[in-house]
Amino acid sequence: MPPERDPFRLDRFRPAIHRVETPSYNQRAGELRDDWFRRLEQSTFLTIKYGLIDAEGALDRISGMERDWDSYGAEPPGANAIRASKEILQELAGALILPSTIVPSAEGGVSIYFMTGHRTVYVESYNQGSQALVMYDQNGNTEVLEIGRDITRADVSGRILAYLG
Amino acid sequence: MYRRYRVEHFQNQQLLPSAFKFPRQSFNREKYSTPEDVLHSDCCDGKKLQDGWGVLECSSTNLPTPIDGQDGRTFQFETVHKPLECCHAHTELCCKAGGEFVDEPSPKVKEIFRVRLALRMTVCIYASK
Repeated sequence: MPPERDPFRLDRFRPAIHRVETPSYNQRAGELRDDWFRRLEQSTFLTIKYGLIDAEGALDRISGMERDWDSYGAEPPGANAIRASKEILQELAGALILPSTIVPSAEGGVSIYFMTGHRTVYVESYNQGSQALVMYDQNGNTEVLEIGRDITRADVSGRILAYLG
Repeated sequence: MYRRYRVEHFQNQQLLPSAFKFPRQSFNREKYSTPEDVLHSDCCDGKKLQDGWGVLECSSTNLPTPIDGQDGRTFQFETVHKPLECCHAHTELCCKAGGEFVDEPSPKVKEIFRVRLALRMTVCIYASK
């Protein structure tokens, strides 16, 4: 798990544990952490719950980007794109799908990625409010579906699962 | 051709299509530029870049063109040298259909092009966090 996705990373709790850190406290905290990780790995509910919290945290971070964030004049992700991305994340979490990464799009909007070894899917939420589902492999074979036109939002999770296997 | 990218747009050993946009994406022409020049403030509209930036490269003869618009039109992509006062190497990547410039092709054409361009560009200076 990448450090930034670790729900128990120390910097998240540092203000709360400041002044109570002792060797025994740290040992006990380590035991609890290991135990919690074991439970987390065994619990689909917790995996999805914390995965969604992290994904929404990533969206909050990129919603604060400024104009020209890519140094080529890109617009920051707008409110429409952020809202549409949150809605699709919640929809996908309901189908037990979590994103691999969420990044701002130079096109103006938000891209939510889902990756396996040779195949990648992303949901592009444009600032003007439309969305597209893009599926491609490493040979460049690409399928683009406009959400709401070619495919309903409710069908997105099924298409992602079918494509990524 | 060279272009800057941000560290978050390179993940799982692959460049993400989200690093590219329409219309008229900017590049530095290799004939007049080194990869390092792309990160210089003169080629960033005066902005001094911090950590987290790298440089991509691609030959202009290796662009993913043409792309079938699935509407009877075929879209061609080509570079046009457009020197700026402080960045002579500045070049734009343009989209054409039937000999006319097209800045807003359909989402399908845009996304297919972004995907294929991302697959063809390689990293020549890795971005560090």
